[in-house]
Amino acid sequence: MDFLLDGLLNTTWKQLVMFGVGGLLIYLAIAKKLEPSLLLPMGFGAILVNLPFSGAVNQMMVGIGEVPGILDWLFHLGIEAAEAMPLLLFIGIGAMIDFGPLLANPKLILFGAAAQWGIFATISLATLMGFSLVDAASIGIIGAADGPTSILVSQVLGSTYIGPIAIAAYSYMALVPIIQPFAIKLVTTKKERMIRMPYNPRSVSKRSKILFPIIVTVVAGYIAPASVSLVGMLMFGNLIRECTVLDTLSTAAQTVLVNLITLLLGITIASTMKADSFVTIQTLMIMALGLAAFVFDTIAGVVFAKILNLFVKQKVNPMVGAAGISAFPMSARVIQRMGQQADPQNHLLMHAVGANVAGQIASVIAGGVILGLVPGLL
Amino acid sequence: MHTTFLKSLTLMGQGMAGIFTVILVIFLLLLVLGRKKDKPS
Repeated sequence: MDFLLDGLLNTTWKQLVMFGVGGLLIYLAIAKKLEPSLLLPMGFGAILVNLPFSGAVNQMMVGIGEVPGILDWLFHLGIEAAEAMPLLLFIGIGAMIDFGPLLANPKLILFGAAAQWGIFATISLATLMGFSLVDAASIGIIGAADGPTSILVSQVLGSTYIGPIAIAAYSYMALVPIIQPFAIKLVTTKKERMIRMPYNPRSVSKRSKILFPIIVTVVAGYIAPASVSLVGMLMFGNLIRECTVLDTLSTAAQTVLVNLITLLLGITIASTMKADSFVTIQTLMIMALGLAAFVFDTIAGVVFAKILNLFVKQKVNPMVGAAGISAFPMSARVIQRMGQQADPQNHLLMHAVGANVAGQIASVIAGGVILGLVPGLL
Repeated sequence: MHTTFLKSLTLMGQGMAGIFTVILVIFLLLLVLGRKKDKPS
């Protein structure tokens, strides 16, 4: 009857730590409502894969050989083989986004580009901390503030840190309401936060809304071809939404598809959270770098807006630049709230929403650009 | 590490240039799209 104790006797301290990590993620998901759709499956999965001799992952069994586990199989099929899960998720995300505020005020798209600087600043910081360029680039993409992009880029580049990167990306996205106000206050004065921006949007035709996803895909495809799978799926989802003749598909993409993929993505990522590879000093460093990436993004957006103010008559509230990250709609809400804290009559929401959706486009372009550039630098 | 850091700076320069190029082209196209006088939705 010794086999009944095999699991207990083979439990390592690292596995116990992972049970704690899994428990913490479940707690944050349920009690604090931090990205529960992702953190809860990841937390439960972290416990599942770290049980000794867990049948949820591939195991070598004496006399039988390798026995496949469902989570390793899902990882191989859904992420490793062709990044299917994160890419399919983008169809749903695209169907959920209304680019109207951006089309009504096109200059906001520039903030999306500026805020991606945090990715590259983090990559440089990671190389100084001893990470290889491949791992540094995978860590830096946490700054895209976009979970699926982080998973896809780290997987394509072959980083060994996909688990911690996914956790950092999703955790910090949920913590945007805490991280961004801190970073914004570091680089703005109250007077700057009080700047009012009148909202005079131009009208947006249905034809513009339909042409936009097609044009963005073609432009991104020609200039940064590596980004086309990411951008293409996002824009395909948006085209389904805007064409108005596929309403049932649009609804399915926004609800059923997103829910199903999210459910599987979380628990599949957990297959990379095996104790031996997860409980390392590098994981802590990645969590710190992920936080730095969000701070750098925010500062870059604010500084870009300040530079822009040197050349324009109608001043931009620098906080709107900080909304140029992909964390939608949290970032836009943060900017609106901070604007009203500085001046109760200040309404920045629509400008911030425009910058925020620009961040969603720019973050996938950034992911594609990194995939295109990093191999050439190795 | 020194070489890797320099490569990361190269990546920063080329990466930001790439992102801004794509975004600027989209920006210009958005301006052109906005000029068309068709029915607002």
